[in-house]
Amino acid sequence: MSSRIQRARSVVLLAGLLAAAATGCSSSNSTGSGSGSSTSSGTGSSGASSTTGDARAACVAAATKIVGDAREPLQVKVPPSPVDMKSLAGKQLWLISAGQTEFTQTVGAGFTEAAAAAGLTGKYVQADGQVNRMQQLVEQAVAAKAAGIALLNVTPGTVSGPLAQAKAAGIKVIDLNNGDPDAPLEDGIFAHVAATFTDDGKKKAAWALMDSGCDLHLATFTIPTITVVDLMIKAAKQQVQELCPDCVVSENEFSLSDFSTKLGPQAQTVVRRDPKIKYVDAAADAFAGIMSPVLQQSNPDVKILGHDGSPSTLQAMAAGSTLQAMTVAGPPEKYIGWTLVDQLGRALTGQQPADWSLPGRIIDKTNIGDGTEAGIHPGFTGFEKAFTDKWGM
Amino acid sequence: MQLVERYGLVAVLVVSFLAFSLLLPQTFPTLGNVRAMINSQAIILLLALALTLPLRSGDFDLSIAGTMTAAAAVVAQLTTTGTSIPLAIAAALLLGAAVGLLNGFLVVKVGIDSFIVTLGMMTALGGLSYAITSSSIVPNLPNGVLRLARTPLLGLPSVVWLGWLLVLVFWYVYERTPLGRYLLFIGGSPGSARLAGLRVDRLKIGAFVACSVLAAVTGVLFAGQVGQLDPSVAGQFLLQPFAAAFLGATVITVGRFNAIGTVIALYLLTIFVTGLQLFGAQPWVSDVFNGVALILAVTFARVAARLSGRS
Repeated sequence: MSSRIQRARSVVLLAGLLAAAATGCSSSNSTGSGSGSSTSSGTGSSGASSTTGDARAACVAAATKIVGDAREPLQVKVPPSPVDMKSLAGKQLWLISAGQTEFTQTVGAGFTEAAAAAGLTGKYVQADGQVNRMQQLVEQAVAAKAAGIALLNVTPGTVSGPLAQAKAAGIKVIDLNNGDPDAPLEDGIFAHVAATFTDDGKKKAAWALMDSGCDLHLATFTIPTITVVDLMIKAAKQQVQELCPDCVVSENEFSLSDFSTKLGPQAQTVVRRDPKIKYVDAAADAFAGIMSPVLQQSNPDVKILGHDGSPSTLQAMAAGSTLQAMTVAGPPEKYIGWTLVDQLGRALTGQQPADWSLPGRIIDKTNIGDGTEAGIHPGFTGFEKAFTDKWGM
Repeated sequence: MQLVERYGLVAVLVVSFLAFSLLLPQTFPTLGNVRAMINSQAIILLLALALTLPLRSGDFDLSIAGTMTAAAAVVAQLTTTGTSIPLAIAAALLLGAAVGLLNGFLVVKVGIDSFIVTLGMMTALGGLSYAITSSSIVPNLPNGVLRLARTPLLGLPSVVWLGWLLVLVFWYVYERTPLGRYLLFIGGSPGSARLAGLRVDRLKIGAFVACSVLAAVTGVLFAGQVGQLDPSVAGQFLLQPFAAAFLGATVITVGRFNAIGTVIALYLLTIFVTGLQLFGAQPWVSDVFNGVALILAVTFARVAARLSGRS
């Protein structure tokens, strides 16, 4: 029944779209075009005015507890059991990234370092964000007789054809940051290495609730086509609804294809439309960096929430030159490269996958310090030895 | 001298392939790598061929990648909600025809610059793709759609063979039929073509429609090749077809957009980018190379057209 309704909706929608295309009219859809739709939600009708004092105090206490725990420095996770890397000497490992950013470049450097430390050859390549290049690179890895492949932000479904070739060739494949650590494995994928996106989204919402005293009007911005961004934003909304049913969340969508020109003005419009909005969840630091200069001009009292803990963001936060008031910082990026090699080593030696879930730490003015990686992640200095010891190197 | 002009790029292609093969004997000249390079360019080749139609008749079409994505979105959305594959493909092709007709009408009849019209259309189609898919990735396309692009023949998927078949068709039309010459004549001098009795408007609109329908066909094959549809991909498929079409105009029939030149140019670009990446060059090198290649291609095409005009 539901598929019939869906089918009818699709046909009606298509007919309307074709008519619009044929006549040159533009049409808009209530579900949003992906380049700037907006809906408000939350059970609160007018903010926190109806919240009782007890409920608000309970909300603040719960949020404060979550934030307090999440501000603690990250504990270094080490390989849970030995991996006989010597038995893999000389094999090739490929890290295929969807695109090139500061994050992927540093993870790639960690990956090649770790492979070299394990006596393997690590190769980092990236696809310029192009689907055809992603497919080509997986095929090239198969042709080069790679032993293992790690996919970084490459959705396995996007390269399903070449992945079938890899599977047929006995090549082990893992992925990084394609969903939560406990997300189901797609066909041909041995294991995930992933940030705890849903948990991190909740941490961000808790921080906004605590900081606002649970009198929160939050604007969220998401890209529905990017799973991990959407996971964080949905989790943030859920957290707000759970701890503060009267708080208001304004949900907004934007597109990756034009965010650098459109996201700033869109954020400005959203905040101007509802002056009660004092918190903006930009999903990731890169997007916060786009919003901040625009909002600084029009709404300097807004606080922006981000994710990733990218070095440039941490430096800006430490210097006080951004409206971004907090971020959830994952472990050092080179460390992530090492976890990928460890996970591939387990796949190649016939072991069970390790739990390489990567939780994030809330960084705000209370613990930003000088904004350097050593200051943010004090326990990670010399983490390499923990890996090489477990690898028997 | 003419030989160098006509076949210079072919020589560069052969030399570059040999050079990378010598430098990277383990990884570059392997069957698997060659297959990977060819497969990765199948969709770009189809788009580049489509693009040569309006380019040859003197117009730009920046909307091809948007048409491809919107057509793919139609097929993905319809087939995953129970519509039969032939009906979904028909709807996608209808969308392509409507886009081409609208582009052609606005450019030819209203007189708006093709760059402006198709840039606007590209943007609108980007939004349309999001609307069709409800701003989400459409996963798990039916096997029937996948088979359209993935069915293997002699080790290569059907989408590659279709591209090569179209190269031959386009070569024949451009070099052996009056239509090919008419398009060229119109592109070079629409006023003279009109005086010579050619139906310039009809041919120009026809070029836009054929281009958009072929872009829609490419969209159907793209959906099958990838197996899912991300509505945000259009921007990834704009620069490379233009680079291939313009660079292709510097070879074989110099100064003219042509089919064989386009495929040679495309594979040359791929050989360089792949070779550099396998060689361990920094990832930004391929961006620089692609951008510089496009500028050089347009420059060479312009110079070659002037020189052939003088002679």
